[in-house]
Amino acid sequence: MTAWRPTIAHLRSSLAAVVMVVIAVVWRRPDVLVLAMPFAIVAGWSVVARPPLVPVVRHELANSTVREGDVTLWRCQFDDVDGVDIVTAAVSPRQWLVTTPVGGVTTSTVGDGSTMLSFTLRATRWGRHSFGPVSVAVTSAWASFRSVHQSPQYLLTSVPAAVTFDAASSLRPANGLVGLNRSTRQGDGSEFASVRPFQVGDRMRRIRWSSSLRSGTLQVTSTWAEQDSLVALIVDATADLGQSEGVDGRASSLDTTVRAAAAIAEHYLHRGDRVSLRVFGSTGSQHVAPAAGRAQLRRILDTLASIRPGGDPLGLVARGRTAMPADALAILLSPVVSPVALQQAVALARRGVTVAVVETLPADVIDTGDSLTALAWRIRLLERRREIRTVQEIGIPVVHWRGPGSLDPFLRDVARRASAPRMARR
Amino acid sequence: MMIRGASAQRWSLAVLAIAAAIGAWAATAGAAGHTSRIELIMVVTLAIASAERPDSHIGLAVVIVIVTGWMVEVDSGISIWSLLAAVALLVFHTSVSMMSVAPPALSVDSVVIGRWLRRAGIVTAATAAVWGLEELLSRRHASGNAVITAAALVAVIAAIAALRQRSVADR
Repeated sequence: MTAWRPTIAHLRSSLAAVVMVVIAVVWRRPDVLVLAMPFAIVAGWSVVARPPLVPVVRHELANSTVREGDVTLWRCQFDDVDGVDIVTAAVSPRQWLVTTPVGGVTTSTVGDGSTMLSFTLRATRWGRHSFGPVSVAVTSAWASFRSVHQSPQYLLTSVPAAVTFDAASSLRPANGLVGLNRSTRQGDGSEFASVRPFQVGDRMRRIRWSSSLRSGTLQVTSTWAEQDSLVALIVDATADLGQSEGVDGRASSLDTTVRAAAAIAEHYLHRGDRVSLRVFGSTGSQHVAPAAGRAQLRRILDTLASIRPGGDPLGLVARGRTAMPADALAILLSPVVSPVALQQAVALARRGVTVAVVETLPADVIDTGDSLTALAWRIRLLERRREIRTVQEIGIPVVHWRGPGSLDPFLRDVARRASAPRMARR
Repeated sequence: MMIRGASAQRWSLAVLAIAAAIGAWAATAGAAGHTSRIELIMVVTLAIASAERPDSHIGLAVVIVIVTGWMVEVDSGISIWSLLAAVALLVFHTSVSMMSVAPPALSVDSVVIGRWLRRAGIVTAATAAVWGLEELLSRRHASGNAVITAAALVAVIAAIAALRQRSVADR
């Protein structure tokens, strides 16, 4: 904190007292001395009660990463506050950050040599939000001396809210190491595949004695292997369409995209699958390599929170092809307004990758006040419908995001096609 | 602007400051036996500006206008009007100082309000005591004394020096 400095209030009382007392003495005006008396007493009281030490201030943000809609706390602890009358803190309002007390100012009285101020912060939208700097001021008696401090700016990362997502259908094919999905080949697992004759290498506990007695030869129960899969999430951040009202209101296209990607990633990572993420249309490095586990979820959520839409409108078109194993399940989340997303989906499908497009355009995007803009949107949506139909005709499903079960028809179709022969263009 | 987003407490303090300035002007008028509308307009205008910008020198301008008006219009002598004007000036200074502590949207805790009221009460009592002392001395009709005047000046200069030394910022 800065040193104690006299305030304008102290200057007013001191100057008024000095000038009026001198006038009273020199001009022999006892009435002016009476007028001067309050100012003289206040000025004298102020200098006597001036705090001996500059307070020590410590401040911290309780959590630098929260889910959107969750709250965290900014605390400021003051020590050595003997002689301090009031402590106040003020912070400028920020978009998507709701501070409590409302208005961004708070105050506290002083007791027992220390005091504390706090702001409750609620992030109402995913992203990286800056908070602060917080201006802190401590004031002595009669508001005569003041010491100020400014905290640094804090960065609060708000990761997308955990929207509900579930998929009843399992992923196929799967060729990972271990996981919950039924593989296309037989091996160790829990799901029954068939009863077959004993082969060298079969485990003794797999022998099915009832069938062996009936057939006269040793029969074993075979199971499907259980393996993990690679789910590759591709997020289109070329534009943010529609109005975003945060976690409590309407969602823009990018809100839906980001929350859906977070939900899908969380679902499959909890099942033990590997998930990767690639964002196009945003600034900076926006790629998370495939991995499983909680740390991967944290990496993916962090990357989603750092998306800045429209930073790179050309997206992957400018960067060439995306390396992706052919057995991955690619889920492309996009409002499908820019042709870049559909081009990406077609390019991946041509390489034999199983692709689904999750469409996230909000229904109210056309509701603009301007009739010409609404007309332009209608024309664009007609074109978009034709583009989507073309993509669907070449075998890429395009589904609208509706939360739980959005991907079930697509996953069932993938599972059905997994056992059938297919041709890939190399 | 103070008007936007100001708390009810802030409005109360602003009204109190303006009312106190008008009260000081009224006490001046009462002591002088006549009113000065120009002075009233100046006092009210400056008091409103001071309430809107409490952490500025406009408050000092209000005090200067009132005290100058007193000196010009009121004859030397002790009366109850001088005590009333002093109390009004104290109320004005206290309310403006309190407004300068925090942003307009903030409401100061009731503990702080109580503390400030107690302090203002003590200062009012001390001012009343000085006024009473002067009232007593004025009845004695004592003649002027150069030594006492010189001693008073020296005391004032010493007090000013002490005040200045304690008022500068720490280095």
